[in-house]
Amino acid sequence: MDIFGQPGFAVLQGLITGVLTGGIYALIALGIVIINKASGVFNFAHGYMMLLGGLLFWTFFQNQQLAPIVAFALSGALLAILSTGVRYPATWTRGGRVAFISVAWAASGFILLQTDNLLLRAIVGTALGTALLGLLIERLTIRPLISQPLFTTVMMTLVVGEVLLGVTQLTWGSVERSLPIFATTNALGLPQAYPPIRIRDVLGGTVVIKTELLIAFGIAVAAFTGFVLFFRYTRLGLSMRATAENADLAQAVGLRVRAVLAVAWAIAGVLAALAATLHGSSTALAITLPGLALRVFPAVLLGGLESIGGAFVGGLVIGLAEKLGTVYFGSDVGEQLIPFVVLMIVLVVRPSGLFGEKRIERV
Amino acid sequence: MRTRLLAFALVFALALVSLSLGQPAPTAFAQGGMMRTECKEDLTGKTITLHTFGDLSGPFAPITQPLAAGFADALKYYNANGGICGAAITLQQDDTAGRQEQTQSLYQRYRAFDPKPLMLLLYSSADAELLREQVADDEIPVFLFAGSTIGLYGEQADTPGWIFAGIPLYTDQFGAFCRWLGKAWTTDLGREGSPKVGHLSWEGAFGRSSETAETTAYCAAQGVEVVGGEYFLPTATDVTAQINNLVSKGANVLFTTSLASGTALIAKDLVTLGLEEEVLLSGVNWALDSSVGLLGQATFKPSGLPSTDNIYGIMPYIWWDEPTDGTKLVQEQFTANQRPLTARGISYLAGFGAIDTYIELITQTVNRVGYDNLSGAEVKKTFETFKYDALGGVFKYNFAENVRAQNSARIGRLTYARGADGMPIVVEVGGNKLLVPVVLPVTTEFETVPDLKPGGADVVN
Repeated sequence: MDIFGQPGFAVLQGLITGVLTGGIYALIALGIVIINKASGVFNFAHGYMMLLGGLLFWTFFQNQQLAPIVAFALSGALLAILSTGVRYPATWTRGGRVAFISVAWAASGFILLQTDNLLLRAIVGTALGTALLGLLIERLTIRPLISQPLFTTVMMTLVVGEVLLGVTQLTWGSVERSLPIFATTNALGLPQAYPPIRIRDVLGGTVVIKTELLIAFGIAVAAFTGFVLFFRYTRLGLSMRATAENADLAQAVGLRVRAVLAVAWAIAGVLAALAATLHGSSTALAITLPGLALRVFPAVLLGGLESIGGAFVGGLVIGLAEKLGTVYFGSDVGEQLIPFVVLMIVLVVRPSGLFGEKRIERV
Repeated sequence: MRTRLLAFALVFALALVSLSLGQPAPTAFAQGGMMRTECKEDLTGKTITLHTFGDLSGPFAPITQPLAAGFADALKYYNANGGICGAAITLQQDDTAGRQEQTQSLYQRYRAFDPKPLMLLLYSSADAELLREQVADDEIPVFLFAGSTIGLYGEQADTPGWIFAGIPLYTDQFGAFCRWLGKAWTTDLGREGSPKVGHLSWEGAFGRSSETAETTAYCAAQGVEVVGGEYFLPTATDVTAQINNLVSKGANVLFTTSLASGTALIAKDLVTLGLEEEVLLSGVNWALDSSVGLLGQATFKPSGLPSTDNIYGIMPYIWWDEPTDGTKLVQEQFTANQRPLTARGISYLAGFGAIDTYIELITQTVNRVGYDNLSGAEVKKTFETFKYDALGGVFKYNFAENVRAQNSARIGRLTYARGADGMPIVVEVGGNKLLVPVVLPVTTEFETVPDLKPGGADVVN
């Protein structure tokens, strides 16, 4: 059965794969939007944060013992910064905070030291490492530029990206790495990816759903739901929105603007690693990964620079446009042209994106 | 009188013969086990630099970093074994990060060196195409480890330039594959019907280089139909749509011009779609690299072997596991320098071979014109008649005035090492289990690849 001249099952396959791939795009877009929402900065370093985060995950996922000093230093450094710099929730007593941080430090340190559950170790280690990375980027490169022209900060993100690329090259080299996290162990004792879900005899053929993409999509949806609730109902989320709206005013009413900015970068770091890991699990962790963030810029602009929901919809639309475009017009048009044509059309009709805030400046 | 003249001629001839017999052996000597041309000049105390730049940190990094490792180990080895006629070899190396503006910038710097580089070593089709006219103007020959027709022969493919390639042109590689495929389809491969090939490659000059009107026509003449091409970016997460498009056009063979993760992604998505038996995966020489075999181990076929098992492709060199003096030497140095399994691929071999080739090129040039007259122009002259088996035959070069690329190859197959019981050998590297990728020759003899550049000798009209 054909749909507009193409085999129905191939169109359905494109539709499903487009949506699922769009989930990963949406996660990448979310990381960029969070920074933009908190500080108004378009973060060109996001792709490089992804690369470093993905490689960090790969390192923790390896079946190798971590030196205790590294494990406790990593968990301790992050928690120390959080305890002195952020202090949320503000209602906590000093004793309660110290107790919580001590327990968290010890627990995360021991998780990093064990090798029985490598996935758990990788999740904890990467979350700590990339949150720390985000905090360091903010503290060392972004905070000194507060009150400087926004363009300067944006340029700084480009520089940060190059530095991160250098760090990853020096530390991990350029060899591509597979990341079989959604896998079982086969007869040879090697990790084997979960088999895809096959739906036979649909619209004249077999439609396949890649398990790892399906899981990635589920994680993306959960992350988005969490962030929507976070920005709507938590004190920190509301502080971030207020800071993004008007940092001076937010500071005037007692919000800790710098801490808010720091948390935004920490969250972006974790999201970058999450997106890289999910992408890496479906292909490989390669040095080309930062290029994926560039591919996602249309999704960010399409959804609207400040909109969490927009990032999600933008990601899905670009994923769909790519895959359906490829089915109908071939990859030249589908992958190279259509995402940008869709973006152009949307920006002409709605310059602030599908869900972006329309700003009216009164003279 | 006549008798006297004959006697004089006889004595003169005998004198010449005895003089020639008294000369030392004419041309060859062993350098660390490898035979090469003997030096006529002793260059001890001098230094000769090899200049190279390329993408060490961009999309090509997975192959160029092992290449750089090969350079480093080969330099160490050859410098310890006499260098170039006693001269020490040094390496001037830089990273373009895969950016053309950086390539141009580095070239500006290199061309300004005094003296100019005797030769540049490049490994990107795009870099070759960018610099083709400039290196000709500056008289700097280039040894390229890629196969770009435009880079070697120009837009019209009618002007052999200053760039010489260490592997066959990608067009010619595809032609050679079609020639084999046409013959082997029903016999060796045991397939039914006729072979129909779809190109599925990386977007860009490299990826698109095999799909030309000339290759399509040549393949048709070999009984192989080319049904079309689809391309994807190195960052792609999925290529099922591209595969479906090609299969719906009738493709039962996919041919890829991509590197490690690109080829591995195609192999994985063929298994995802359940087409791993129906569609044969093949590609240019890079498709058979160990990097592909290592990445392919995340997805397994129903047969229990990785998705990248049984990829066919072009093999213009001897592989690591074939017992020759050259591969033995490279393996020894690889082990001595504690290189990881991930570097045991084409690139390391090529890096080692490139240094060996450079030594021979400069030696032959010095022998011809003398050290004081060494220049890029003279090295190019040597290149134009350069017949040399680098690393004792691991790479076979046969350049001529109008032949700018290595032009012989076998067909190879990427698979995994097996034990005596037939089971794949599992090794543990850094606490993780891995299968060991190997490339087996499918055809035993090196055959000349067809000349399929526009206007080439084998182009079918």
